[in-house]
Amino acid sequence: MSAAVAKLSGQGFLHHLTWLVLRLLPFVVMVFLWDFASRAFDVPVLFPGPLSTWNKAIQLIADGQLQADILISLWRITVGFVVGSLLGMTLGLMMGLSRPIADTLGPFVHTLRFIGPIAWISAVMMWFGLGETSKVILIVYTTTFVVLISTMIGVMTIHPNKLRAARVFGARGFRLFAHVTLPAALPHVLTGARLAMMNSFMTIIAAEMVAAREGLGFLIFNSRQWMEVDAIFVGMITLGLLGLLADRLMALLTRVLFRRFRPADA
Amino acid sequence: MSFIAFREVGFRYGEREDAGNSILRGLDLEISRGTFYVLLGPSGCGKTTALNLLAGFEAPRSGSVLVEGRPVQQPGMDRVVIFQGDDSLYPWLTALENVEFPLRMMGLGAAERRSRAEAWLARVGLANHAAKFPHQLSGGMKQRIQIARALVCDAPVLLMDEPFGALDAQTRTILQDELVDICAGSGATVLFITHDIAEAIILADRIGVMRAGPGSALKDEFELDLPRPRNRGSVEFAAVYDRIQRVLGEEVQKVVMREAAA
Repeated sequence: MSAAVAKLSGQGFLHHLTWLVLRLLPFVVMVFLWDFASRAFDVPVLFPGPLSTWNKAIQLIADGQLQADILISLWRITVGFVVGSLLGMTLGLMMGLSRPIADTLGPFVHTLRFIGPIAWISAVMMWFGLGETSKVILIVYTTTFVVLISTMIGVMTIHPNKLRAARVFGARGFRLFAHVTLPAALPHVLTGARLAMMNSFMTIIAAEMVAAREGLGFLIFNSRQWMEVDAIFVGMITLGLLGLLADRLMALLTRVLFRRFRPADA
Repeated sequence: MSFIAFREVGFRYGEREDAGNSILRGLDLEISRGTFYVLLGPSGCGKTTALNLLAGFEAPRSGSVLVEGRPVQQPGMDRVVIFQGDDSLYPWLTALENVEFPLRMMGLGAAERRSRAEAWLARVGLANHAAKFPHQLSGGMKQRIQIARALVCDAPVLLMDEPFGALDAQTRTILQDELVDICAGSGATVLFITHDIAEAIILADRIGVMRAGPGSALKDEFELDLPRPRNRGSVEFAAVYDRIQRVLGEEVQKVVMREAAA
């Protein structure tokens, strides 16, 4: 019995190891290619290799600068993302539920969503200055539309038989909404939120590049002035890893909090 | 006065009547209390529309649909529907919670909801699957959930729109036999839609055959007094099948000819 258990857990360990190795492999290959390319380019200041980038990262961490930039960027994203998701969900539900509202707001929303957050940066900076407000507004803006569209589609594609059955059982008005419409649309809301998270990461960098004194976007943009390409790389890699972490965290939260409503891919 | 009555019922989509958009025209149909009524017809003849009118999902353009003499106004717990396919189940609820759903809408307390839903789940053979979600169950099991969810309401009228249409032949046969058992004791009046003659003979007290559309109505009716359970291989079964096939076959032929011409 114990031998069988040991054998099983042994296989489990091997399985986990394979899982990890396979997922790390592309990263390792990338580092080697990067190193090779950097040597071939042969101008380390313009195209530093992995090792000097690593050393720069250590230095930025020792200075406390990288942590500060990460924290401020994440804070801006979190606030904007939460507010934008709630706003997008509310508007998306309204448009999904009411044909007149969808008809009225539809063309407006579809026009506005093509004026991307980056197009708004100039105006928003002039109105709200270089402080936190302007960045958070841009994140809210970019999040809202993605969640809105996804939520609206989620409501509109609820199978009519789900609503008909509920009406047979006497559900009307708010109870129909709370017991059927909202839970049926929730997987779409979650998918939208996950996509919006990616948009938030893109927007924050653009906003911090144009007007900020701290944050990962500022780190990447400002380092250009000092020809610190290694610091630019540190900023970029940090961004990717944070994004991966945020995405996994959202998938995990979806599984734990919304297990019943999880979209097919989470 | 019959329990359920369709009187001169007309239905079409779109505002104006033209050659193609009339679904039902002058449909007269009566179902007495406690009858298992099967409506047979070629595809596209408007049988599902007739069921939707009685359920209250649609309103007739002309004529009236009456239950105990009162026109149907909207869907209600007195006319519970079992749909084709599994789209009407709630994927975020377990099998048990799906069956509890109507009771929750009725405002019953948790304990009573649970015991009544569990009893019905056991009745349809899903006692061991109460905690599973619909996507973890087979097509036949999902239709069993729908049957339990409908019967837990104790509704006087059950409306079934090809409930076994999407199932494989073996599962369908098993569920047909089970439905006969379940309905025998319930005293409910049933309107059952299908295009499968054998299914109709297994289940029905009375069978109505509809004309090919557009503008369909009832063509003929058959009273079935074969004892239950009915044997699919018996001579009597074959004789009834043959009679119905002759009536229905003509209508199916019309549909085939029209589709070939189009």
